[in-house]
Amino acid sequence: MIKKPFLYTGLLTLSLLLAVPAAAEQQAFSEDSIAVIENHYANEPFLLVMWSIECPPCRDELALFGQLKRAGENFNLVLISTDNLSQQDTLNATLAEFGLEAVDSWAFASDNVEKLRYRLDPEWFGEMPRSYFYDPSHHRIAVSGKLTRQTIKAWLNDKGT
Amino acid sequence: MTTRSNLFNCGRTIFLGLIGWSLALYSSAETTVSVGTVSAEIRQTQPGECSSLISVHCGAAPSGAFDVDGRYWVVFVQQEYLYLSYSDNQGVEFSTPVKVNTTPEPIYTDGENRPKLAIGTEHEIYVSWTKRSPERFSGDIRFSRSIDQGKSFSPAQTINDDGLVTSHRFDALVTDHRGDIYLAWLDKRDRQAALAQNNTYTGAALYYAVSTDKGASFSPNQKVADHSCECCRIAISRPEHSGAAIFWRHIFATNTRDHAFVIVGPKGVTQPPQRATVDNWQIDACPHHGPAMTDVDNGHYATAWFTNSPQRKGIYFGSYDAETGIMTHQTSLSHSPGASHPQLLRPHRGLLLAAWKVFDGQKTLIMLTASEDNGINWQPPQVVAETEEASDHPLLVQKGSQAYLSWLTKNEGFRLIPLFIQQEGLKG
Repeated sequence: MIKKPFLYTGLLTLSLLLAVPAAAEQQAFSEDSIAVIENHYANEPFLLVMWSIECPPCRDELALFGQLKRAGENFNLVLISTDNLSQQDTLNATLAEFGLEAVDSWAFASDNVEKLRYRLDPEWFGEMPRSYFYDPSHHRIAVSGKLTRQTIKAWLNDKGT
Repeated sequence: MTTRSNLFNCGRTIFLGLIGWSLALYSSAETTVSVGTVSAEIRQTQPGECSSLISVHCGAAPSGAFDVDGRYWVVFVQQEYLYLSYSDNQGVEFSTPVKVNTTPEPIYTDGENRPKLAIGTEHEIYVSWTKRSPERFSGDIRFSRSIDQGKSFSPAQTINDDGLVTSHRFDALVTDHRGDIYLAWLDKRDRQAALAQNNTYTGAALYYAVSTDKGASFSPNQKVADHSCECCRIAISRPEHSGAAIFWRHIFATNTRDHAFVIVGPKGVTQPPQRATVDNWQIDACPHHGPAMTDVDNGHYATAWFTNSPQRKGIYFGSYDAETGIMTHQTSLSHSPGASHPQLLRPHRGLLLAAWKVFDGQKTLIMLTASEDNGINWQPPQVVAETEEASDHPLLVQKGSQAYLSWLTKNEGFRLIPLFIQQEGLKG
């Protein structure tokens, strides 16, 4: 029989664990990762967004994603930070700030940023935030600059999730 | 507007080349560029070597200049210090680095942030950098000088004088023809004040300070303009007599991120800010693409910038007439993938050079083009350096009238690549 103090301690520990959201985990974005991501969401629409901790407008966009997620909008969101994976503590903390711990998140695993940017999109010149709306057949529309709630809602209404 | 097609029919040719390298020859009907590959003189950075070595090859964001005696001075950032080193043989060997800041402090080198170095009229060495504050997007503009040939530096001083923890970043440094030192930067003190009163404020502001006593002291901070773009480097150059010309990405109307130009003097703005580029790039984002500029003649400035408007994409050149405020001879230099971070240099009156970065799918390339008529006609761009791994932005520097590409790459280390200009064919 479990003695009550231990039971309480166990329950307390469990409740604390449940109260703390799972820490975001940055996956290493390398040359082949875009194919991995696209395969993972095969036949599904998703929104791919490049951001950086050094990009002030990116924070506004992360805040918008956090609001949409809290409001129950269910869509596939993939975040790729162009900051190096070595900064993952800061990246995790930033995403946690906006309630985005559970989002599929990646960070550049190489300092050859030109190559990784090219793999993502040769037409992208590094401005941020940069977003790609993928439809289920993975035709994608690129958008530079902050997305608006209306733009995302229109995409959700068009594509369904 | 000059178009690409007639640019190439100028009938006169400049030969660009590199010396001191093992050569692979690229040639076209009009232009020959000898492209260097890594020679034995250029060190390869060995894995792990940089963990114990303080070196220009191992640091971040090296920025330098030649003095009148031909010595190349360079500052770079490594482990929370700014270091100074020099080379008397054009980058083959470097002196033991000397610390500029004696107390370690985080220094911005990401994006388009990098330390700056300028040389005074009596061999003074002036350096500036941006100290990273713990708060997000915050920093201070720092300055130090050496008046003993780089043996020692004055204690680092903070130039922004508002006492606020906010963004003072993207320092730009130049000495004018009188020897006065101008420091300009992007500043969010006004944004912070506006937000504190629940007002909106787009972007940052452009501020500057000037020293008329060779860096012993600086003027109070002076505001030039509200609503600069906030993540792009500033281009600064010297007008014909005194003062500083500044060319920066500005936010016009709600979110049009084109460029503005101003001339400032010791006591304030001497020629009010004017819009200098009209690409109408409307974007609510951080471009991370600042412009380049060099002074030409008679109040004209050679400028280069990146834009990505519906009508124009990539790197553009233009000749800006400060008096009329008109940008002429606008032309596209590159819209290749990764086209970014242009540099301009006028090593002598008959030659204007433009360099920038591109990515060809496998390698990062530095492209170079030349004009002998201040940017009216340009040679076809040619590859002058390349790397397969990570790389810094390219810089152009000059030793007398000899131009060099300054470039730090992960695989090859720091290189000073001479751009050998042959005037052959000009008489044709």
